[in-house]
Amino acid sequence: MKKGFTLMEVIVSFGIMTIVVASLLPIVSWLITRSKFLQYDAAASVLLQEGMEVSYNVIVSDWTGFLATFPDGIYHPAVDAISVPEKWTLVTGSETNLETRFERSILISPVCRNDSTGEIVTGVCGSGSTVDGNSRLVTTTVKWLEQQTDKTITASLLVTNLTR
Amino acid sequence: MKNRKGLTLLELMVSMSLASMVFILAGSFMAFVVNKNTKNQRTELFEQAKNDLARELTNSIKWANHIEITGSGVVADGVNFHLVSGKIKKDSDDISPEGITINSFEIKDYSLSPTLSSLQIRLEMQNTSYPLSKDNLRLVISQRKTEVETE
Repeated sequence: MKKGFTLMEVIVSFGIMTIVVASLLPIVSWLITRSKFLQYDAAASVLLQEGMEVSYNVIVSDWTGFLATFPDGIYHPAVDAISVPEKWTLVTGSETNLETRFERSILISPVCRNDSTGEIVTGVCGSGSTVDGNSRLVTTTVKWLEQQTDKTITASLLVTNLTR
Repeated sequence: MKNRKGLTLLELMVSMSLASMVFILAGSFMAFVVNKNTKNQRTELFEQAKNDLARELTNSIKWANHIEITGSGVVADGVNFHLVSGKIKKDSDDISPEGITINSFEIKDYSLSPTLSSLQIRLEMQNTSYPLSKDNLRLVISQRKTEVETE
């Protein structure tokens, strides 16, 4: 007599199959979330560029006005709706919940130069180096949360006064 | 009569229900994967469009000496970026990728000084074959100052 499968064998084989499929599922879900994360990366870099471009325009358009209005510190870009026509401006502090996800901050910091060579000195200005009133370092940071971990992208731009 | 044993009704029913369970599970899984794949392809097309357009516009506007906003777009050093029937043209060349229709190309000038432009560009786009699939790009480009001025 030809023996078929018992119910027990069928159930066991199903169990094994389920384990195999279940172990493949995380790979599929990883592929899906990864494409979502790539989208976040792209959106963050657009925000980073926006921060840089706005601060560049604010700083370079009117150097002395900029120094008088915006002391070194943390800012975020905004549109000054009061002026006609509307203009870019910087507002103190960082901004959160950008596109419900991102946090952006623009750090404007002084640039220290060697008195004799004019080269940039990293760290605090000491003897032989002074703060250059015609240069500012703009560092834009975009931060967001990705699977409970912080992700950050940063870019720096050295802006110098070309109108002297 | 020869004793040929067939399947009982019960065995048949059990095997059929098991088989249908397998098919339903496998089928829905496949449908899910295919659906996600199509969505990913559409997303990738949008990302590509955004990349292409952002790069072209940024390079041209950033380093231009003269920028002028027109009714349909922007002219940077004589190169005309404008929207013609769902496509972004750089003079007469199409710079938006195949399969993407551009619905609007808005440019706002938020510059602080009239000699140094800073433009906010907003592009609304949709997948030509699947009009419900939409995306947009908001981009700020500031013209660079390349010459030293003496006051």
